[in-house]
Amino acid sequence: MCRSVLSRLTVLAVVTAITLAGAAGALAQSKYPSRTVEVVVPFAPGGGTDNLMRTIVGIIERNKWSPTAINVVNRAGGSGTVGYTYLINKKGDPHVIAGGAPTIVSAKVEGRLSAGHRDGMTVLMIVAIDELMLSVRSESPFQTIEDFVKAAKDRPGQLTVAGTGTNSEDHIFTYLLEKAAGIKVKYVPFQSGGECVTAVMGGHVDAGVMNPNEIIAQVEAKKARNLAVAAKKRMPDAQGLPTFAEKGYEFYWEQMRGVVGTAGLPPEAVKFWQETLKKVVGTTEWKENYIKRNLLTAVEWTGEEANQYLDGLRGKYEKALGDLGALKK
Amino acid sequence: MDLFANLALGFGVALTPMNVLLAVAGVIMGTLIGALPGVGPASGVALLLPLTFGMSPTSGIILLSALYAGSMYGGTITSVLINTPGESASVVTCIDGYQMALQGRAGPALGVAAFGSFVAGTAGVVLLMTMSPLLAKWALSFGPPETFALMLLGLTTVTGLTGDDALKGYISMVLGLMLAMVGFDIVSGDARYAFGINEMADGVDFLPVAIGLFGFGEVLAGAEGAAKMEILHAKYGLRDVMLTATDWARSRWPIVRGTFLGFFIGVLPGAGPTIASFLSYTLEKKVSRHPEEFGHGAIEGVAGPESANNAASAGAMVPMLTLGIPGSATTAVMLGGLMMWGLRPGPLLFEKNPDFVWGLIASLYLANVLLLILNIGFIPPFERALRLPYTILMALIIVFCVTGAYAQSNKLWDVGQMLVFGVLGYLMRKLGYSPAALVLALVLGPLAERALRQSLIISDSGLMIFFTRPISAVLVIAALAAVAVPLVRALTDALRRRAVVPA
Repeated sequence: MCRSVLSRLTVLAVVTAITLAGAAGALAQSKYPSRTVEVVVPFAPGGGTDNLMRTIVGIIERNKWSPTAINVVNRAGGSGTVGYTYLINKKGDPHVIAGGAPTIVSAKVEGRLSAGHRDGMTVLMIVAIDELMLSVRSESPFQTIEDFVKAAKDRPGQLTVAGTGTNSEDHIFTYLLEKAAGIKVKYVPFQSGGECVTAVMGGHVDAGVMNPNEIIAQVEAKKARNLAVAAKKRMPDAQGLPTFAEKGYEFYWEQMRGVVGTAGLPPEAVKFWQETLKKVVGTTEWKENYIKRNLLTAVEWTGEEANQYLDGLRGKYEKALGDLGALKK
Repeated sequence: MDLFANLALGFGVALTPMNVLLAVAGVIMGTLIGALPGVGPASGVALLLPLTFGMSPTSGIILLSALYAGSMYGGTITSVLINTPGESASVVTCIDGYQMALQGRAGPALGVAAFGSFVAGTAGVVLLMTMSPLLAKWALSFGPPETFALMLLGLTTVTGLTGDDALKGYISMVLGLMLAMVGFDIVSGDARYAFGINEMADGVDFLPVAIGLFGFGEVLAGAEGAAKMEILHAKYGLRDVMLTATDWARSRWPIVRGTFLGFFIGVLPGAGPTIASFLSYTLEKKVSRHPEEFGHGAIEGVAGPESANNAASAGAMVPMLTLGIPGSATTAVMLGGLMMWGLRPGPLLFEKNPDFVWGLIASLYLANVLLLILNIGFIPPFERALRLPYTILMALIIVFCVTGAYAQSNKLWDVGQMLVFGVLGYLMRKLGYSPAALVLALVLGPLAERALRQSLIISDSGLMIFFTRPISAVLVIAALAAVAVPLVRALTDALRRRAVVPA
């Protein structure tokens, strides 16, 4: 009797304890984030990913959508690999997220990252697509993309095209243009978008590969003009600018911008970020000061949709980087 | 008259109580950010950017540009007091600034830095205001060949940084150039000498190197003589803080030269305050009547570079405001801010947002006045820090070095790098090599290499591209002459001596 009471009490205690623990767990779960969130920017201050994440965090903080503080930390290095390797190593830590650039795909293809978008991180949302265009300064003899292609055919391997980095988005763009138009140009790599604009505007190169926001101010001031954009359709805010495809040089190339978390992120963290990011991209501030200012195309791809987009991107990178000889056998 | 109307508009915007308050806050924070090793103006501006979103764009830029100006002043403080550069543009100030501090002349060193910064900062804004459109054109004419030629000229002035032994100076420089080779090759995209380490693939970052070579190396060297050096011989009476008449006479022209040199270097895309300060130092040593005093506490070695880096930060605003192109890391962050505030930086900014541009210009005048007062006022308390026994000061310097190396990009790797270079700096000092020449090569090397290779891709005639373009031709010939003239002179001297000896 005494014994059975005791055992009953024990059972009761155990059950209570489990319930309490469970409740506490549930309580903790519903309270994500529970401490300061570290937002990793794997690039130096002032770049595209830095602007993206500081805009997002700015909007979240002003609207007080996060119960805890959010810290943006620039972990630049190795063209983004230092920051992304940090993220990959933080596997399972819900309080570390990062700005997503095409590097998460390309650096994996090149073997500079140990894991990719599916096994090394959780893709939270792809928020924008940045187009790439070919631009010249206003004094340039090339009025249209046809002029440029014709000149390149007359003087094979003589025209110079500036872009940011080697084996980068700009470099692949140039290579795809060469293939699509059957031309050969000299690609000149620069350190940053700003340096490319300087080289184009100073007439030191014949043309440059540009994101719309890098050159738009020069175009508005009639100091530069765009020849064509590598998009599927004309950009809504630049209806006069033809695509390469419609001019008969069919290729498509673009840069994605997004937000990623660590691998094995608990569901409540994924939920928090997807909901919060949805609120962010719904604000007028985001639409006006980020998307429109930078002439981006807004998207809201999450989950499998985002992953499949990145899978497709990986195939394109494998092909292009293989052709450029950037991949080790 | 248009100019005055615009300026009046600018001051009307900048002198509202709120904006004055922001400018005051900006210069104080900037001074602190500049003084903390590792946390430079770029990360300071990035840190404060979110704060400015609730403000009007003009208030935002006033806060940020006051912070930028403040950090240029503040970087000097640790360079002079503890031989640890607060940010990259103050590295060169360590050389003579710290020597002055050792001689009990930290006050005049900080004083001349503050005054030179004020003159240069103010003159820089005047140049920015009056000559921007002209300068924008000039900045664009600097392509890769011109950039390479300028860097080459900068490298040949390295003898200006070294002591008596020119050969050891060149060896130090070559060591720096070799370190500059580490990391991604811009043309092939391969990582060189990285040994599969991600951090190495990025190259050797020069700020941790400079902090190690100067700051930590100094501690190691100081530890040897610590018994003798109980307290640094700092004097802190008001009279000792003031510059003497000789100091003024000697600093006058370096400030003027530093201002103009710095401003025009700052305007060039890709160059910036750091390079400007190095070039100013070597220029001052070249034109000085007593070059042997450089490296032993010559006040010109502080006055010139400190003026140059402030003028350059004003110069860097020219491509930002007139072209929408960042001239430095800090202006790149500011440009990001401009866009987030809803402005579009570019050739039309002056036309479309005059209140913004002129408000910024007026606030820069204001910031420089505030900074002069602030920095002169700070000198006595800072000098007092040197009263600490050297054994305690040493520990503090190590703390500054470690946090500084880490804070720049939050990587422990950089701390290790700083320690390694600290040991190297100690050895170099012992053996008579020049840490400054190494740092110069590490700053100029990557820029020079990129520009050289870009030029050769663009060129249809190989190296001739450097001689067929007028600006680069002049610079390259000057660089060649800088190397050839001393050589020829040494040779003819030797021949003459040989001609005399047999007799």
